[in-house]
Amino acid sequence: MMLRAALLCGVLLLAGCGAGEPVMIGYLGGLSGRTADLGEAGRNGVQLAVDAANAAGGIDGRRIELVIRDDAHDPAQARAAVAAFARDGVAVVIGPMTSAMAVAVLEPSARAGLLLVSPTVTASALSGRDDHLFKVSSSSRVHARLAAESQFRQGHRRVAVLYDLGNAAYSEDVLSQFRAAFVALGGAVVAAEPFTSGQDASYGAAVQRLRGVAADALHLIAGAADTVRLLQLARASGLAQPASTAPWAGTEQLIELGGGSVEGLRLAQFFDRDHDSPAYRSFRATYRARYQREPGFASVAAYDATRAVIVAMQARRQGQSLKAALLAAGPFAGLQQVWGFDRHGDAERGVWVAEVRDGRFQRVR
Amino acid sequence: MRQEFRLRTWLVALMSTAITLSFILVAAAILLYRLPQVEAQARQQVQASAEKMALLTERFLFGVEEQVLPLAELLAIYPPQFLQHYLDAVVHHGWVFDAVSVLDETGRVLALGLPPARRAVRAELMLADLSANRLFLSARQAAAQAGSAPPRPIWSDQYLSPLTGEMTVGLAVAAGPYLIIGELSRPRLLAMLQGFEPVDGSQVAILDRRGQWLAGAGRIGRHHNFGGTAAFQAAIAGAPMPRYEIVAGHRILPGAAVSTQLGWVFGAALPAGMNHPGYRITVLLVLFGFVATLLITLALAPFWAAQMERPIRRMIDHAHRLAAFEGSAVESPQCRVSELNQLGDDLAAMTRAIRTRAAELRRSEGEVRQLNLELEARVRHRTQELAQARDQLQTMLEHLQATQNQLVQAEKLAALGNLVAGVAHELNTPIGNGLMAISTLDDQLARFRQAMRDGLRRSELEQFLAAVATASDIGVRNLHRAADLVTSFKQVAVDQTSAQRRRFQLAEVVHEIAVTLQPSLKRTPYALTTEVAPELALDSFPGPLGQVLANLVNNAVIHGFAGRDHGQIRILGEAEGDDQVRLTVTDDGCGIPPELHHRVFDPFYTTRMGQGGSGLGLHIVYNVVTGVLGGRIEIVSQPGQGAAFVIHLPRRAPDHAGGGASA
Repeated sequence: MMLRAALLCGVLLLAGCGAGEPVMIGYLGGLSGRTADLGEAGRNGVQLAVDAANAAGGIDGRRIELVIRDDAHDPAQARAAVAAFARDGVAVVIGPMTSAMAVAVLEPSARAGLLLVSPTVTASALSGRDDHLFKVSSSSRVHARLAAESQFRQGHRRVAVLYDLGNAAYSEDVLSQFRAAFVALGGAVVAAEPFTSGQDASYGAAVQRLRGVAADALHLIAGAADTVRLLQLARASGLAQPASTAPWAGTEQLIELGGGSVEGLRLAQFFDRDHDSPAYRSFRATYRARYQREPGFASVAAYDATRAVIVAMQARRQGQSLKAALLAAGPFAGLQQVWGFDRHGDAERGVWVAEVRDGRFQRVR
Repeated sequence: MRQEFRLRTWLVALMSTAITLSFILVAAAILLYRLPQVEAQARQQVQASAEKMALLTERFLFGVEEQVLPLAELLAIYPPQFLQHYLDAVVHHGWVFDAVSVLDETGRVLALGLPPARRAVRAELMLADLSANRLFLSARQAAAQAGSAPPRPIWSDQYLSPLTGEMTVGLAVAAGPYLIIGELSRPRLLAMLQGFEPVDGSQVAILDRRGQWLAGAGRIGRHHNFGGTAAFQAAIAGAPMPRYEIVAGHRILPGAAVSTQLGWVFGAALPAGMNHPGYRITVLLVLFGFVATLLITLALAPFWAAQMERPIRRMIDHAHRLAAFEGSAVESPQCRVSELNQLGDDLAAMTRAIRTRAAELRRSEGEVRQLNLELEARVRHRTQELAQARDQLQTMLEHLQATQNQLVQAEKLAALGNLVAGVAHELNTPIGNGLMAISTLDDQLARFRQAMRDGLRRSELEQFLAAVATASDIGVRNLHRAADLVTSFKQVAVDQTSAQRRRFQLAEVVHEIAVTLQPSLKRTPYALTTEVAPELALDSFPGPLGQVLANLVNNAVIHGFAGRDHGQIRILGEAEGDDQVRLTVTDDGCGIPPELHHRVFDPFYTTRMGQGGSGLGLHIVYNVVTGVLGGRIEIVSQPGQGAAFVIHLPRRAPDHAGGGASA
C-alpha cells in the first residue's frame, strides 16, 4: 500500500516533467559575418515552417524544437556546430547555406549520422552522390549556364570574372561551369581573378588585376556584401562594364547593401519574387508581418526544405531511416513548385534571371 | 475470501496509511497555496528584470550616444572631411564602435572613422552607397519630421553593414544635412552588455523591433527571432504578458519592457514549472518531507506496532491458555489500555462461568457413565439368562425328538402287538376247532377200545368209523385254514419289519393288507373294500406302503367313524400317467375341517388325546409317503362329508441310502 502510494507520487512527478519529448530539428547557417544575410533569410524560412508545423500539432503530437547554430561562415565553427547538434540529439539539420560549409561538415556529420538538408548549396561536386547531404536547389551547372546565356544574349563575348576563395567549393565550381557554358556559346572568360571574403586587401587587389583587361562584361561569384563592395570598387576603378553576379548574392539585402551601385546588376535566381501561387502569397504575407522584410530565395528554399523534412518525419514508418523516409516522401508541394529528391538526394529548382532596376529586383523576360 | 493480515502488519499499514494520507493532504494544501505564490513572485521578478535591463541598457547606450553627439556640433562648423581624425578617435580601437561614418543626404559616405587595422581600406569602404540602408532612410525621415529641433538619436534594428560586413546595430544622429552613423557589431554589443545579467537567474535578451535577438545573457534565444512570440507581440502592443511562453522548447515565465528611446524590446525569462528553482525547491521540499515522513513512519511504525501489539499478544496468549485449560490462573495480565483490561476482566468472568459449567458437565457425565455400566451389566446378565434358557430349550427339544422317536418306535411296537393279537385271535379258532375234533376223536377211540374189549359190535364199529371221518374232516379243514393265515401273516410281517425294496403288483399288496386288517375290522361294524387296477407293477417298498394303508384305515376307524354304527372304507388304486400311481383311501366319516388340513400330519396332533390316540399315525403316514416312497399326500375333505387321502406315488421309488430305516 505504501509502495503503491510512493509509486503514484513518482508517476505524477514524471508525468509533470516529460510529456512528449520534442523532435529536434537543427538549422546551420551564417548568422554573423559577411554572409549573414543568406543565413538569416534561411533561418526565417525554417522558423516559419517549424512554427506552422507546431501550430498544426507537430509531428505525431510532438512539438518540433528548432535548434539554431551560427557557423559564421567559418569551417571550424561549422564543425563545432555539427558536433553540438550530435550532442543535443538532433537528427536532421537544415543547412548549411554555402558549399564551403557543406564541404567542411560533410564528413563529420556523416560520422555523427546527421542528415543535412541544404536549401542553397549548389556546388556540382556535391551533386550526384549518395551521401548524407540533401540539396534542395539545382546544381551550379544550371544557374551558371543560365548566367552565361544571359551574358551571351546581352551581346557580351568577353567576360571577366571575380570569384571568392572564401567559398571556393562554390565559386570555383560556378566559375568552371560558367566558363564551360560561355565558351560553348562562343564567348570567352578573359580573366578570372580570385579574392578572399573578409580579407580587406584582396578586394582591391583583385579589381586592380582586371584593369586593362579587355572585357565587355563582369561576372562576380560572391556573396551580397562582397558583390556590392567589388562592384563599387570596380566602378571606382573605371570598370564600367555591365555586371552580373551569382545567385549567392541574390538576397534581399543586396539592394540595401548596395543602394544605387547595384543598379543594372543581373543575376540568376532560384525563385520568382512575383510568383502568384496562393501558398507563396500567404507565405510572403506571413514573412513580411513577422520579419518586416521580403522573403528571399534562401527563405523559400529553406521553407521548402523544412517542410520536406517534416513531411518525411510524419510519413516515416517504424524502423525506416530518416534518409530513406526523405527519399521516399516526395514529391513535395513547395511554395513555388512541386519538387522532390532524386535517388542522390538532389533536387531541381526553377531558375529565373532578374535585374536590379529602380532599387528592386525585376524578372528579365 | 478476504485476505487475512497479522495484527502487526495491519497496525503498520494503518499507521503508514494514516500518516501518508495526512501528509498527502497537507502537501497538496501547501503546494496549492504555495506554488501559485512562487509563480506570481517569479512573474514579478522576471518583469522587474526586464525593466531593469531596459533601464541599464538605456543608460549605457545614452553614454554611447554621448560619444557621437559632439560630432553633430562639430559638423555644424567643419566640413565632414575635416573630421576624419576625430571620427578615428571616436572609434579608437573599436571598443565601442566598429565604424562611425558621416553620410550626405544621398547616402554617400563623406567621412569614415575606422579602427587602425582597417584604415588602409578606408578609401575602398567609403565607396559604399547607403542610400537604401534602412537606418539611413528612417533617420532621414525622422529628421524631416523633427524640423528644426535636433531629433533624438535613432537606434537601428540589426542589419548587415556594408562597411563592416557584420551583423550590426547602428546609431544615427542627424546633424543638419549630414547623418552620423555609429555602428556596433552584435558581438561588440554583446561584449559591452556583459555583466548586465540579472542576479536572480533570469535570462534576458535584447530584441530589435523585428524580434531579432541582439544580445543577452544565456545561450537560449541566441540567433532566434522572437517576432512571432505572443510575449513579444504583447510587449510591442503594450498589452499584458501572456502567462507562459515556449522558447526553444522550454516553457518560461516571460517578462518584457520596451525602451521607447531605443525602440528595442527587453525580454526576460524565468523557467516555468519544475525548472524554476523556487518552484522546484518547494516541490522537492514537500516531496522530501513526504519521503522523510514515509521513511520515519516505516522505521517507527513496526516499533509502535510492536508496542501496541505486546499487551494484545499477552491477552491472546492468556486467552489461548484459557482455551486450552492450561494453568489455573484466570485473572488476565493488566496493562495500560483500559479496553484491554476490561476485555481481560470479561474474559476472566467468562472463564469462571465456563469452568463452573464444565465441572457440572463432568459430574453429570459420571452419572451417565455409571448408568451405562449398570445397563451393560444388566444386558449381559439377561443375555446369559437367555442363552441358558435357549440351551435348556435345545436340550428339551432334543429330549422331545428322542421321545418322539421312542413314541414312533412304541407306536410301531404297538401296531405289531395289535397285529400279533389279531393273528393269535385268528389262529385260535381253526386250531381250537382242530383240537376239539382231535380230542373228540380221542374220546371215540377210547370208547372203541372199550367196546372192543367189551366186544365189538358192528354198529359200534360203524359209528366209530363215521366219527373218525367227521373228526379228520374238521381237523383237516381247520388246519388248512390255520396254514393259510400263517402264510398271510408271514408275508405281512416280513414286509412290515423289513423295508425291503422289491418289485410287486399293487393289487396283491393291497389285498394282503386288506386281509391282514380284516380280523380287526371284523369286530367292528365297518367294512373295507379295495378296488385296485390290475397289472400295476411298482418297484418300491411294500412294507412301508402297507403301514401307510393300515394307519389310514386305522385313522378312519378311530377318527372318521368315531361314535358311528356304520362306515365304509374304500381303497382305490389306479395309474396316473406312465410312471405314477394314485392310491385313494376314502371314508364316509365325519370329515376334517379345512383349517386342520395342514395340521393333521403334525406329530402328536390328535383330536383324541387321552383316548388312546397317539397323534403319530398320520405323521408316520406323511413321513413314509414323502420320505421313503418319494411321493406326496393330500387331503380332500369337508366336515360331515367324509375324507379322502390321495397318495401320488412314483412307480419307481427314489433310491435312499438306508432309506426307510426309520419307517
